[in-house]
Amino acid sequence: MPPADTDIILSLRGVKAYFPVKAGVFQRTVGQVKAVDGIDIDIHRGEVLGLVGESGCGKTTLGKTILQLVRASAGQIIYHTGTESADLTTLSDHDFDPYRRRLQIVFQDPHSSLNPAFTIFGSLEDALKKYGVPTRAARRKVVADLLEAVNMRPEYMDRYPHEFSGGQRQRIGIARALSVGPELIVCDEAVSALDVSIRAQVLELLMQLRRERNLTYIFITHDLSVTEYICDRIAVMYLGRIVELCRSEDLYARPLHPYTQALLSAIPVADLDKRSNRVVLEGDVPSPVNPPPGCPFHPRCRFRQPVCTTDTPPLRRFAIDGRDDHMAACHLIDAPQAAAPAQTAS
Amino acid sequence: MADNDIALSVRNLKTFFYTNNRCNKAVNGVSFDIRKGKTLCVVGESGCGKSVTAASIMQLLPRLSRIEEGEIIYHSARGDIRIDTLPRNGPDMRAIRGADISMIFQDPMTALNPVFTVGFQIMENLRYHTALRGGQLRDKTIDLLRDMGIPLPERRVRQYPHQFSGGMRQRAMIAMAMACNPRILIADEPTTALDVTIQAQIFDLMATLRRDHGTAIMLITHDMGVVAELADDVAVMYMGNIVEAGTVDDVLRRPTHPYTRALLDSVPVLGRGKNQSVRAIPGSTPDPLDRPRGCQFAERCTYRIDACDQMPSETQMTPTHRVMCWRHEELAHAPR
Amino acid sequence: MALSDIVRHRSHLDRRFDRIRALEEAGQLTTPTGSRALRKFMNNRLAVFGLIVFSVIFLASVLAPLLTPWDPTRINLRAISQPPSWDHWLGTDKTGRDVFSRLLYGGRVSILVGLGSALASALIGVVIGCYMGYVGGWLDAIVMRISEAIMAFPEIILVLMLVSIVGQSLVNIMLIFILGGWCGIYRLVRAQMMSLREEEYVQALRTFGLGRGLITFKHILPNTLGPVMVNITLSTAAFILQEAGLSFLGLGVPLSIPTWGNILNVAQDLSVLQNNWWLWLPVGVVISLFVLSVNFIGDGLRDATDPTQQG
Repeated sequence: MPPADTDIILSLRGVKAYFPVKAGVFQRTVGQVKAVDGIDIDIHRGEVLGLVGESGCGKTTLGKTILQLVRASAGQIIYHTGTESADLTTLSDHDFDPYRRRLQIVFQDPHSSLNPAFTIFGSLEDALKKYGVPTRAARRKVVADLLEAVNMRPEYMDRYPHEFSGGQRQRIGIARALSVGPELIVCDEAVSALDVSIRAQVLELLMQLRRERNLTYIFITHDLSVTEYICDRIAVMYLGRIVELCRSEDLYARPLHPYTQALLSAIPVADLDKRSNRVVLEGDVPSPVNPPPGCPFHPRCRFRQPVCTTDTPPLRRFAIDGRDDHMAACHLIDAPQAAAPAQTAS
Repeated sequence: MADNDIALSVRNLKTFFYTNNRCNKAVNGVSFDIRKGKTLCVVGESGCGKSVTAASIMQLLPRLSRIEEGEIIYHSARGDIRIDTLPRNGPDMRAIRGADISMIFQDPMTALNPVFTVGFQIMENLRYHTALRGGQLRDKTIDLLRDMGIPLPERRVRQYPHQFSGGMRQRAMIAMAMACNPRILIADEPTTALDVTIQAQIFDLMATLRRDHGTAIMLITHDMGVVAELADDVAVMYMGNIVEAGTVDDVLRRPTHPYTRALLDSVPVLGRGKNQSVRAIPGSTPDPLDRPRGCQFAERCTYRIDACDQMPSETQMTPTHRVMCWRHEELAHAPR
Repeated sequence: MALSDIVRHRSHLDRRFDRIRALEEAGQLTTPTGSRALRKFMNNRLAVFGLIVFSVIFLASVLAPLLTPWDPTRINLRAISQPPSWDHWLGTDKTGRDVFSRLLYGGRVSILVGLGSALASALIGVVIGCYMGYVGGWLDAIVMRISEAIMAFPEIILVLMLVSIVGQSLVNIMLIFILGGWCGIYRLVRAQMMSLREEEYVQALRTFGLGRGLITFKHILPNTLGPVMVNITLSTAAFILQEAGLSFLGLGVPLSIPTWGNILNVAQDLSVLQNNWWLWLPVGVVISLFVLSVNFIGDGLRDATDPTQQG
């Protein structure tokens, strides 16, 4: 286990999440859905890391695997609290409790993220009870404070979810995530299901909370316009792997991986002066049940070479502008590689 | 604008919903034209009435609603047809639906019937509206699928929707809608549920349709990026009214109505970097059953004045650009 | 205005819309507060009719001592098979017992058997279904197979077999009904549980590390109860009919206890059918009305709690 580095809050080493495909009368395993296929990355305390990709790339599964909602099939997920570290995949349910409260999630769908049968207070109460708020009065105070922190009135805690709009429900979901005092929050498409003008409200709130409480975000989305605006670093995923990882500015200024280039050019831009040369990819977004050999992207890549069909490219560092923190997984990138071996992706 | 330039005219359309024994004025006086061979983008957020407008044109409204007032005039080759007067499921309306005016929907997964093959569903449309029979139907269907960019159409014709991917299902739905070469295609958020790279393919396809078939397209969306991509004309809707309308140049380069401006300001734009100014619109849309008096946007508007207690009238600022705001003159010259 | 506007056909729906619009524009409408399901139910005329009939019969049975002076088990050999009269509103049966009072007191037992069995089997089915649906695994598979085996058995034969084994008594009949009846609700709740456990609020509860029992029984269970309530009403009707059928054959509740089915027992005799209509026709009508009303209530509940139906 690497020495505890107070700058790094979470380290992923070789994380995989495979789901069996069962068929036949006896439900035998006939294949694997390789949703997450080998992720190595270090997440810094206080950063906003964007995890982008299209459907089937594994970004949501990775988010859930980090939170232990999905069991990792292989690899290590090491959490650094600053004084100690632990591999979350090896912890029992009981040992995981102190770490559990530090990792929280905000979901996508404002309609199913709250229990329709309970008031807001009722939904939040049990978590507070478990994490040591002893009396009902104290719990009500905590919930009131939380609602104020997300710019909602405290008396809303006695109302039911159906009385709120989508944007308000999302803010309640954020309040719920904050209720146990987390350090790292996974935002799983947290604004994608909201109206366009409400998204900005919720994004502002998330950024404000991050400053106030020194939070770290893993921001999962398919919307690259949003990640350009709020993320510090961005990891582009394709078929369960990271294909590019770098600072936000670098991704938009100089995308190295062919998939990133195609993705960026495909986005419709709300600016008449900025219509780009579009790279239209052929074929469909692949399914992770039968990933192709070699580079996962090669079937749709316009630069494909024979080596791409046989060898899976590792994530390599490239030296650009005097820095070496731009990483991409491609055999064909025409840029000087950095000297340091790409063992850790920090 | 010459009259034979226009495929469909909507004049002062009002569609009200009567669920829960209340009257919800979902569309409250909307007028626009769809020009032949051009794309009109109707932009707005949830609750603004854009989908209801499309449903009114197609007469596909739910039972507890009706077109209260207004005219929907379809300028067909046979003359002008008043769609709003036709009985909803009468033979006239059914002849128009699918053949003259077609519609594609947001979710390709639920828009196709899972128990019939894709080929059967397309052929059904052709069989009802054309005189083609037998082998001709199949050939035409295969041609359609090929035109929409579906590889190996001879095999695909016999397959079921679940064997298609999301993007291909959307193409199949477009094939079905284009089967009878309609003059007007209504697309209700056709790419919202699709991945970005697949969206790009569908945009390409729609541009091809306009070019090769001269189809007029009414595209409903909430994404300003899509508007910049595809629109020739734009209509911005809020709470049942069109607050601003014009060519795409007018609306995106010279947005005048406060809602249009606020909407454009509240969306991060790709390429503008981390330091772009993104401002949320304060508040939220009012309850449609408990509307404010006068301008519906006033309570969230930074340019609000007392006169806004009265619904602004529509001003034609240029021959193409119109807006519903008392302060349009100042705003037309205000910097962004 | 074109001619077509003037001669536009105003349907019934149109007139209703005009009324609503006029009220709305006069500012006289407000969105009703309170339960939408309740309002929808009250608007359903058949359901309300069912509720009224059910209440009448139910109350009549409960208030039996107030409504009739006759003891339903008191034999009076001097008044055998008398047709309806002012003394005996529905006449007397073959041993001189007053038919009307037997009807009322019999209702108590029949409703107890029906409603009681339905509630008890629902309780068992909900508890098992909830937990199994959430946990899954091999235990769930075993219980599913057991329930399938029970449901596959022809019901009448199952009941007859059990009756012959444990004997006839009121409690035994209820236990047998419950044994056969928990499977339906169990499967219903389990299916709901399996879809609800993927809801995001459930995942949020898991991220807090809350226990399975707490998540299942406190948080998810309330959301499954809609269809369960409908099922309970319909099961009640089914059990009443079943009891009536069994008792008619003499295989249900012992003949010494009056139930609707037991009263019908005499109708096995052709001469009774032909000559003494008051012995079987009123009971038959009451059973039919009661079952029908319960079905209407169940349908009304289903429509009222269905979120997709327009109101």
